[in-house]
Formats: sequence, structure tokens, C-alpha cells
Amino acid sequence: MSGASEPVGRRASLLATVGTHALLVLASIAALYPVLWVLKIALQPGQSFDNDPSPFPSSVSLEHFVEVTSTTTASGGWLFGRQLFNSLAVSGLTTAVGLLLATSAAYAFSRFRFAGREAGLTAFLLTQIFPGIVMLIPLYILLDLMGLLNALAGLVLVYSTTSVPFATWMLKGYFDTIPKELEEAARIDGASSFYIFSRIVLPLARPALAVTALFSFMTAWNEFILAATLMNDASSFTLPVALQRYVGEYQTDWGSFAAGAVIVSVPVMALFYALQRHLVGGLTAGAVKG
Amino acid sequence: MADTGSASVQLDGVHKRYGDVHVVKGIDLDIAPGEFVVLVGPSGCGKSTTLRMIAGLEDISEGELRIGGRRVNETPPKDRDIGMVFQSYALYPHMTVADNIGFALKLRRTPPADIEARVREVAAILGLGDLLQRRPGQLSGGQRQRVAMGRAIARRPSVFLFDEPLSNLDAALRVQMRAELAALHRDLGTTMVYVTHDQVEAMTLATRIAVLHQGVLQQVGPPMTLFQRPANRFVAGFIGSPSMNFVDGVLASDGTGPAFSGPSGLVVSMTHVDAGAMPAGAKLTLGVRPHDLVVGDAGPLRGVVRTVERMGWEAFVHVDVAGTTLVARVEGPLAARVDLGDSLALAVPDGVASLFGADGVALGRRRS
Amino acid sequence: MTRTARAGLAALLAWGPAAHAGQTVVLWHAYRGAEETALTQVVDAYEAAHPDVTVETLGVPYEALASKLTTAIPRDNGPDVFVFAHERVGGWTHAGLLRPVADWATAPSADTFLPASLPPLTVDGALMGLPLASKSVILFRNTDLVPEAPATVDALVASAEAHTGPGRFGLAYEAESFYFHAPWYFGLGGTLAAEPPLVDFTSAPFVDSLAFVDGLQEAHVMPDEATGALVAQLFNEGRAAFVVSGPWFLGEIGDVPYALSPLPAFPSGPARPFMTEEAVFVSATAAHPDAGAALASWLAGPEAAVVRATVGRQVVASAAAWDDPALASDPVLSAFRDQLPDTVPMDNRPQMRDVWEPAQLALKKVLRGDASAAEAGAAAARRLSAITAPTPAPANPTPYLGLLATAVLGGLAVLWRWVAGVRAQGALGDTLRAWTWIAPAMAAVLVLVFVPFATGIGISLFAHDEGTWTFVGLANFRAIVTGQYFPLLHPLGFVYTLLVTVLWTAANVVLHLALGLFLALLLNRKGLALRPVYRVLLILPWAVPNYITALIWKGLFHKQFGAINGLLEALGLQGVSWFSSFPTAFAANLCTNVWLGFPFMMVVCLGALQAIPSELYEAAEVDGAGAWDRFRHVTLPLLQPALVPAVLLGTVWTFNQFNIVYLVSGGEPDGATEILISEAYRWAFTRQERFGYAAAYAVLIFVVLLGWSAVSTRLARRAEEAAR
Repeated sequence: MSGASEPVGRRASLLATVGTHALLVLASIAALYPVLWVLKIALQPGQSFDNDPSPFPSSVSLEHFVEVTSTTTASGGWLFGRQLFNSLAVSGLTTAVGLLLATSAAYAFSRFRFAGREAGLTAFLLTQIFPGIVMLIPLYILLDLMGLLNALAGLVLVYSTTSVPFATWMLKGYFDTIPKELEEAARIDGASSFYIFSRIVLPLARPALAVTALFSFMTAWNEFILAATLMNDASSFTLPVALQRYVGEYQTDWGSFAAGAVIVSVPVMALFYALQRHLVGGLTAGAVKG
Repeated sequence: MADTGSASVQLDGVHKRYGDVHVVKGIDLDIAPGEFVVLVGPSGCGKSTTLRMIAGLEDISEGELRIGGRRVNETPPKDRDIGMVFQSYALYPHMTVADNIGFALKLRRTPPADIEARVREVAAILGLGDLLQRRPGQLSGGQRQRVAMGRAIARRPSVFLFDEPLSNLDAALRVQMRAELAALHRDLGTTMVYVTHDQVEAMTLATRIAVLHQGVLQQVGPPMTLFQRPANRFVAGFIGSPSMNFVDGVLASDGTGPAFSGPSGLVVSMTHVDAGAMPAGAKLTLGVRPHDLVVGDAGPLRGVVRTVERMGWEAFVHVDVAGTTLVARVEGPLAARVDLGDSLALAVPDGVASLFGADGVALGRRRS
Repeated sequence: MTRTARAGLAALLAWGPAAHAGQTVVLWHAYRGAEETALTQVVDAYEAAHPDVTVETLGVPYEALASKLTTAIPRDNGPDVFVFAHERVGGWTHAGLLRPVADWATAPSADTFLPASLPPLTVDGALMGLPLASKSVILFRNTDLVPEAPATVDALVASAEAHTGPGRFGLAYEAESFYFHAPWYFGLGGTLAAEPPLVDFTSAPFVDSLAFVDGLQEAHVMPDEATGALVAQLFNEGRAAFVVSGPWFLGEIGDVPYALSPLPAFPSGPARPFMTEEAVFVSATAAHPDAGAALASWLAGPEAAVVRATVGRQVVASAAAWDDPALASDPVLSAFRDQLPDTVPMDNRPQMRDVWEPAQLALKKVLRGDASAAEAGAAAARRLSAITAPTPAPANPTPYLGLLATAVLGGLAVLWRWVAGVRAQGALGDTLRAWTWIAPAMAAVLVLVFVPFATGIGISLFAHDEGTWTFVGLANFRAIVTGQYFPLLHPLGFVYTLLVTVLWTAANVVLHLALGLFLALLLNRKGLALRPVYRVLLILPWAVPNYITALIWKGLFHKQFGAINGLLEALGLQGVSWFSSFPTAFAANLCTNVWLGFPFMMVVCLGALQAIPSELYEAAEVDGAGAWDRFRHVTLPLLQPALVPAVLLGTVWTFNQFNIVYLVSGGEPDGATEILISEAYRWAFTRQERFGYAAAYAVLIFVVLLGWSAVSTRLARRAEEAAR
């Protein structure tokens, strides 16, 4: 447990270094193993799997990837492409709408002192303890009344809304660390409220915005229970719903499922990789140097 | 640079309340164009709040604020024609030095060429020429300080506001920046309102000092007036370093006029003070600055040296006189020689001490 | 590429709900593979013959299709026509989702369809759909191993025992499922009762059938915990002599010589499997009922049936289709058809669905060796009576309405006073300005989060039964907290489930935190080489969508195919049957959730650690603090402000971590690892759609979490103040 407490400017003992690396390698293997295993099933021909614990495929073929990506609609359209587009569009718009709503609310919660502030914050926090599954049927009825059933716009609305409370709290935490003097200086310099928000606060909150965007994107990209219930048409499905097809009640096409899982996971992994620098600071509201 | 305008700032019975908390309790202050007024006081005295009300960053709960003779209570900060330097500098970390300095001009839709010229001019004044393309994070504390001033200067406001601008700097830089600030004021001639808790800054920079305590203005005047004739015990104790010595006693008379009678048979003639109708025996406090105390082998007060602070040529000795500690300044050979446990005699010369009534207010001086 | 672009453009233009213009008939089904191909061909042929009609088909997984139909049809969002098995016909008829055949087709004469196919589709004397194909299980055998079909069960068992050895099994089928078990039950004299409960689990035939499979298990004739995939694999590798399965198994057989034969007979009679009739239905709310009816009639007709039989390998119901020589001479399809008279159609009433869960419970108990046949039967009977408990009596809504009105009025009064207070302070302008920034987010959250949740609370006061809602007041809550259906400490009782949920939450959060903090400390060591590499690898689990994680781990923990048992066996250890005992099943869930959850805590800890100035460690070291002291007195207290919210949030998320429990252990064994949220889901969606009861569960979850957050935030605040 002495990890963080090694003082600067002194070299750790060889034993400690070796021990640290040994533990980290072990942990990395544990983190990586299931992922490699999915990759193996995706690359290996056949729809079942065996209990060979090796995480490397015995033979490699792209047949599952071809199968999963070459689904077609009844009219011969490229169904997978359509569903990929749906997922991208829904997730992208969810991120945009969710972030827009959350940043403005988070800014007000962070910067203004007004009646109802505590109540509003508590209400947002409360949503995190709502058991989501019971809201399925009321949501269905609600979207139906709004005429947004089987519409990607309906999904965007629901996803962005459910991601707003957490995003608001996270962004508020980060905004709180941005010195108020910066905004005061800008006010004296002649900037309007909106200008300060968009040109001073937002650029400084970029790490938090990136991380919040990532979370919103993930909410939408990974969700399937709502999407499966609200969408009535294969060409309006998102990828997770399409993927669900391979996991049947009585039989699972493991090869296709794994290939689909790889396809669905890769964009999120890429985003994580791209944003991992911000992840650490953005999540825990690092201080702004100035 | 001579074209910079300079405005007066007037506060008329200005109050600030946060809910039930009364922070600033009716300040009246007239600042003439071109003055350098320092608001000084301990932390929490309301000086920063007052400055922020002048800047427009806080609403004024009651009273009136005029800049250049115009009421500006409801005017947004940007229209008050002010520039402000913050304690933390508040530089925009995502902009270059040049962008920071030119930001206000950009917001005023100044043509880019003009902005550039203006930024160069300001940078030249402040010696920032080489740093224009850097970001604030790449600068040293002193450099950031200069950029913050540059940003305030660039717009040529008619009033500068400073909120403890030097408190984040080390001692040597602080002395240097103090000199530069004084020079800047001389060159620009702009009205400056400066907040600090450091009375040395106040003494060295101000044309007038305003001392605040618990939201109330204690005294306003040129530094030496405050130093020599503090209006009350608070100002007396706050201005001057080391602090003034206070000795409790009563009003007496020594035939020629009022006198102060303290412990250990200390009697000080106070003929320069107007005791008015105060009865003999009224409780008083004698205030005498360390450098006014005469240290020698003989004197009415005798005590033991408890602490010695040697500054080189001079030294401050803390002398325990019958339970009361008095600080005195000694210089020359004595400063080198004095040591713990030495017995010293102290005397209070006539005409230098101040007297404060039981309410802390200084007794007036007799006109001679 | 241009096609994608066009698809994208079309998607943008069709941003609103898809409109069914003109003569577009919408058809929903659950077919896959060859059956889907056949359906597509048939539909294409229909479209070719009717150029004015477009058929829009949607294939949805079977279970998902059922719930989609139940929610969509009553709200006019359903299809015109759909294909489904007959098992739900009774419930759907009473809920008014179906159009009786008499309304849209001429009554079929006695010889239009195979005789077995119409009764299952008949409700109260009315035919509700046209039959397409029958499904039942049959006996497959590897003809290399067993050239002749056994005629009796005794012969089957004898032959199976002869082909049993290390890694080889005489008989493979999904023995834990009542669907596959049913032949033995009906063969031993079991029946479906005319009145619920449909199966008497304590009756001699059921207990005998349990004893029968117990004997097979004892003789190691059958593989443990067989799944469809395992059965197929064993058969294809020549390691299973007999298989009991249905027509879908045909598509999974590799190059193994095989033959089909009717299930053998007990002395009391033939082993009779369940039969399901797949049929085409016209929705009660069809937008194009006439066009839909025409399509439905065509799908059920002989011409389409031939295609469905030859291409889709279906045992079609159309009698005329069997005149086609291709069908008549098909040994496989004929075998299925010939067995039809010896099948038992599933009951089409909703009570049929109550049977599966208790029956499976009994089967698992016996196959695991946890209970004798009689004990297992009794346990199943108890479970059945619990999940079929009658809906509570209707309650008088007046007092509740009064309460609601008072609450609303009280709320309005409080709001009014609050607004007045704000106005009195003169802060109305500032408040309004701030709220304009928040309003869009707040409005969205109110409408799409709070309103559905409030509706959910409302639903908890109702009982739902086949589409009708009855106001029952607090009866659902009373039933849960008094253990009306299950004793409170029974694995499905509220208190037991709550305790499991608390244990689950605590274990997860502690492990997340311990592991996350430990790894963060390692990663935060000064001058650590390869830090970015480690960090990326360790964050990886976070990036995998959690339902995928759940299914991966379920696979990893699989008894026969799982890599974890593979690893244990490679180490010379015995493989573990992970989901057959509480500790191992709980550990499997825990392992999965810890794997996916520790990176979040690690990242939070890393961020907080980096914010601790190193001078503090230097100061502590100078003060003589050892490594542990520094951790204890510097690191931990300074991490606390960042960790408290993360832990709070993590607790709430874990408490409601539905996906993992539902997908990994699925509550096994016998619902023992179920947590509150997954239990609520079961009541709502896998039992008799008791939405009210499920909503009451959800409200209780909310109350528990609310209480917990209130207490814990107070404790955290007090600790923070004490630390100051």
C-alpha cells in the first residue's frame, strides 16, 4: 500500500518495482482475458465454444464479422449499415442534446445562488435511485402519446434525458473548480453572460465536457431494453437490439454474438482510449491552473 | 499614455448586506481624479467587498456610488470604465498573453490592427514583449502579475481597481512590483483604488489611506497623518510596524495641563492633547510608537528585555515593565549590545504620545 | 457507399414515426434461419402476385415479440398480422388483441388442416388464428451407434446405458426444461387439468417422471446442465447416441448419420411430448385488416405451406400440402407428422405459463441431487401456488383519492408560499434568470423521468390481470412485506431478497473500492514505467457494454464450455457447477460485476491521488510515519472527499444492477441470487405480468435507497465536520 507515498526524487527499491509490475501485469491480464476470449470466439469459425482456456483462436476466419455486417432488409437494403447509422445518430444526438441541457443547468447550479437551487440539485440526485425497469411501461405510453414511438427522435429524447442528471452533477462539480475571478474579470472586460459561458467557462471545462460526453454516448450506444421495446421495425433498431437477436432463449449463436459484441465495443473503446487523459481529471474535478 | 482619462469615485453611505449579515456599514468616501487610495484593514473588514461594489461585481444594498460624477449603482461592470487586477490574477488559462491583454478590446470590437498595436504598447510598458505568445501557465508569478496589470491597462480605463494584487508574490518581487506600481500611477495619472491587508503597501503606495474595520471606515487621510495622528486605537494599532505600544491608565494633571498616569508611577505630560471636559481619573490608554520611546540607563520605566529582534543597524526590544510588554527601537552600538535579561530604562518624551479614551477614540490635539 | 448514404438520407427524412401508407401490411414474426428464409420467399411470392400490396416484415426474438405484441397492439402500434405459437392465444383473446378467424376468413373445413392443429387455436369455441406448423420434440439417434429405433422406454434406457462412457452419453437433451421433460410426464399418465392448476406437481405421474430422470442422472446417461448448444455439440461429435429435440435441431446437425423416430413408450403408454401450433393471427387493431387477412390466409394456404415445408423444414398444418410428393416422401417431416396424434397441445390459457417456473425448479432440484422426487414435487407445488396467488380484492379508491388531493393541494400551498417568500426577498428576478438556464433540463427530466416514475407509483396501487387493471390500494405492499406469497426468509421472500441485495451491494462496493484504490496506488507510483499501457488495459472493462460483459462472463462460467472450468481442469482441479449453489452463483455474479466496475473507482482514486501534494508525504515521512501510516493518515483522509460521492453513487448503481444478476446467474439456484430489481422484473415480465406487484417492489426499492442515502449522506457530513 505504499505506492503513492514514495517521495519524489528518490528511487524505489528494485524489489518494490518488480512487485508493482508483477501486480499490474496480473491485473492487466485479468482485465484483458475476457476481452481476448470474445475476440477469439468472434474469429473462430463455428457458433459454439469450447472450454479451451487459451485466449487465442486456433483458427482465424472473418465469417462471423461478414455474417453480422451483411444482414439485409426485406427489400435488399443494407440492414447492418442502417442500424449502425441509427446507433451513431441516436448516440451522437443524445450526446449533443444531453450535454446542451446538462451544461446550462450545471452552470446555473454552480454559479448562481437562487431560491430552489438545493431542491433542484436534490431532485436531480434523486433520479439516480429510481429503479429504471418499472418506468418502461409508463415511458412507452408517454412516447406513444407524444407520437414518438418507433422514432429515433423518441430514443434520443429518452436517452438524453436519463443522462442529464448525472451529467449535470459531474459538470457542476467541475465548474465549481473554475475560479470565479475569471468570470468577474471577463465581466469587467465587457463580456456578456453567454459569452463568458461559451468562451471562458466551456473551453476551461473541456476535460469534464469530454468525459460527460463519453458517458452520455455510452448510455445511448449500449442501451437495448428500451430500444427493443420502443422500436417496431428492424430498420430503426440500434445495434444492441440487433445483437440481441443472436442471443436466443433456447440457443445462442456465440460466434455471431461475439463478432457483434466486438463491433459494438470497439467505438466505445476507441473513445475511452482517446479520452483517457481527460478521464482522470474530468471525473474528479481537477484544479485549473492560471 | 497621457491621454488616459481619470475619474473621481464617490461612495455615499454605501452598505452591503448578505441576508442578515451586514458586511459594509455605510461608507462615505470621496476619491478625486488621479488619486491613489488604498483601502486597508484586517481580513473580513469589508474592504474587498467595497472594491467589488465599485467594480460592479456586487450589488450595492444601500447608498450611492458615483464614478466620474455619474451614478453607477445599476451600471454593469463593463460600462463603468474601470480596469481591475485580481489577487489570483484571473488570467484566462486557455488564451495567450496577447489574447489576455487584448480581450477587452476584442469584446469592444476594436479593429485587430489597433488591438495588436495596443497590446504591443502595453507589453512594452510592462516588459512583456517576449512573452506575448505564451500561455499563463508558462509564466512565473511576477510575469502573471504583469499580464494581469497589462490586461487592466490595455483598455485605458479611468479608474483602476486592485484587489490585493501583490499578496501572491514573494517578498523581493513584492518590493519591486510596488515600485513599478507607483511608477505606473505616476505615468498614467489614473485614479487607483487599491485593497490590501498589508499596511506597508498602504504606506508606500497611497496618496490617501482609508482604514476599514468591521465594515466601518475608521479614518481616511495621507499616510503620515494616519501614522502620526491616528483617529482611534484601531488605526493606531494597525498602521505602523512594529505596532504602537498601549499602556492603560487614567487622566491626571501635572499643573501645566493634562497628564497621563499609568502603572509603576509612570506619568507623562500631555499638554499637546485637548482633554476637554474629561474628569480627572477617567480611564485612558496611552499610545506610543516604538521609535518614540527613549531607551537609556535612566527613565521612569524600568524593565527586563524579553525578546530582541535585530535588524542590523537597529533592533526592536520587547521590554517587560511590571507585566506590560513595551516594544522599543534601539539603534547603533546599543542595538548590537542589548541582550536578553538586560535591564533597560524607558522614557516617553513629551508631545509624541497619543491618548485614547475608553471608547478607543483619540483625544484631539490642542491647537498651538 | 452510395447506398449507405442514401439510407442515411432516408433515415433523416423519415425522422418521425414510420407511416404505413396505402396498402402496406405489417407482419411480425420470430422466425430465424431457414424458417425466416422460407417466410421471406412466401411473402415475396405474395407481393409478386399482389403488386398493390407491400409487406413489411419484422423479425424479433420470441420472448421480445410476445411483450412487444402485448404492449403495442392495445395502443394501435402493433402489426396487421403476426406469427406466434398458440400458447398465448387464450390470454390474448380475453385481452381483445386478436380478431377471430370468423371475422376475416371462411371457416376451414375439417380436412383443410391436420386434425391436431385446430383445437389449440380455439378459445371458447372460436378459432382465433390459422395454423401454420406444429412443433414437438422427437427422438434423434446416431445411426452409426444405434441402427434401430427403440420402441420402449426400457429399450431406450438400456441402449443409452450401453453407449455411456467417459465423455460419452447415451441420451442428451435439455433435461432441466419442463418442455423437454413433458414426454415422460405425459407418458407416465400425467395430464393437463381442465381447471388451474394445470399440473399437479404432487401427483404420482409427475413424481414418477422426476424419479425417472433422477435414475437417468444417477446412471450418468445424461450430461449435466445440458443446454441446446451442448446437446448439438455432443451429437455432432458422436458423443451422444440419442437426442430429444425438435425440428430446429435439424439445422444444427453436422455430418453425422442420423434418423428420427417417435418417442418410445412406457408400459402405461407412449411418451407424449408437448405440441405447439404456430399460427398466423390478425391483430384486433390492424390498420389494414382486409389486406392482412388476405396475407394471413395465403400464409396458411397449401401453396405457401409447401414452400415453408421444403425450404423452412416446417411440419406444416395444411393438409393439402402433404399431397405434394416432396413432402409425402420426406422421412423427416413425415416422422414429425406421424407423431402428432401422440402429442399433447399446450394449454392456450395464461395459466400454462405459470407451470414452467415450478416445474423447472423441481427438475433442477432432482438433477442436482438436492431433493428426492417427492420433495421436489412438493416444492414445485408450493412455488406454483405462490406465483398464482389470486389478485387482491378491489379496494375503495375514495380515501386514496382524498389523500392524493390533499397532497396535491398541500404541495401547491407549499409552492405558493415559497414563491411568495422569494418575491418578498426581492430575489424573484435572479431566481427566474437562474431557472431559465435550468428549465430545459429540468422540464425534460420532469416529463421523462419523474412522470413515468410517478406513474409507476400509481401502478403499484393496482393489480394487473390479462389486460384489466383493478384498484387494490396497498394490497400489493401488504402482500410483499408480510410475506403473503413467500415466507419472508424464503429465497423469493422480500426480506431474504433484501438481505441478498444488501450483501451484493456491500460486497461489490467494498471490492470495487479496495481493488480500485489498490491499483490506483500502484499506478500512481513515481516514475512507473509503462504507466499509460497499464492504465489503458485496466480501463478496458469499463468500455465494454455491460450486457455484453454479462453474457461473456456467463459463458466463461459455463460448466462444460466455460474457460474458467477449463482453467481449473488444466490445473488438475474439478470443474465447478457455478450456478447450482448459492455461494458459487453469487461469486460468479460478484466476479462479473467487480470486473466491470473496478475501473471507475480506480479512475476516481487516481484523480484524487494526483491532487494530493507530495509535500504532505514528505512532511509525514519527516515526522516519522511509515508507509502504512502515510496511507492511513495522509492518503485515506485526503481521498475521502472524492470517494464519498463515488461510493454513494456506486452503491445506488450496484443496488439496481439488473443486467448482471439477470443475465449471469439469472437468479439461480432457485431464485436465491435474485436481487430486488431483478425480482421486480420477473414479476412484471416473466410471470403473469403482475405489473402492480412489480411496481410495488420498485417503490420499496426506492424507499430503501432513499432511507439509505439520507442516512449515509448525514453520516458522511458528520464525519467531514468531525475531521475539520
